[in-house]
Amino acid sequence: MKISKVKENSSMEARMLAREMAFQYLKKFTPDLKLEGLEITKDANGRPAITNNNLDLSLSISHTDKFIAVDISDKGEVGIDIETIREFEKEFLEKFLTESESQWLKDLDKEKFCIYATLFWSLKEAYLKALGTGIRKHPLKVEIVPTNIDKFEIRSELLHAECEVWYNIDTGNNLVITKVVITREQSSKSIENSV
Amino acid sequence: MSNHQRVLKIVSEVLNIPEEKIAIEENLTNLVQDSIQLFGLLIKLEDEFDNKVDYEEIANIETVEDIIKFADLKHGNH
Repeated sequence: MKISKVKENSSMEARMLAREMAFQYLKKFTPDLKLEGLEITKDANGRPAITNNNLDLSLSISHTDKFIAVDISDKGEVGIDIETIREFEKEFLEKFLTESESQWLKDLDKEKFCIYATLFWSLKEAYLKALGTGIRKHPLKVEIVPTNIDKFEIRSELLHAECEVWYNIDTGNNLVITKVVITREQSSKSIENSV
Repeated sequence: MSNHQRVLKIVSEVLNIPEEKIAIEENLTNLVQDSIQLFGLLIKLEDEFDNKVDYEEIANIETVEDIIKFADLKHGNH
């Protein structure tokens, strides 16, 4: 994964910068690749896609107003997300957290609550991006399950399969960064592959 | 209040854009700052229309104009 700090940008500018970064990262990922003629477009679900049939690579892009993250995977469908740690309104939390997630969060102090609520959102979004739908599928259909201290699994009615989950809490930059990879075998099992 | 006015009011409040500056033909992803703001908009719209507008149906809509048309269809044009 490549993460860059940028000057504060509009959403549109950040997207353009992210595409530039994706090309640079792609070149690093596959040094022999000729970039001429290559484009980063969007597939039918709005997910970024590299227009080259010979490349079996999955691309994911995320940005905040100050950071841009790009990742490419040859293992499966990748989804990444980068979020500024924030304090959510109660009504908002109720809309994306399941009951068991809320239970897990409720005893945390305020600072940790903000960090982990943002992390839960971000893991759900990264998962939905890996699945190809983004938040066009409801985040409540994805459940974050703590399995050990600071270790989480993701379960979802949308895909009955395991996935690789990675995250980083960067309190210095007030960020959480998450990554989910659904291997190609697993992603073909998706019960709602297209929307 | 018409669906047109109700949708514009919510979009304006959630995205902090004056109603007169909302380009209704613009893709929603270009109007929002991030996915959290987009989700906030979708759940407000869902609530506004008494859950007659389903989250996942509305989440697949691309423009503000299309949301208004969809609300007219689901909730009646008034």
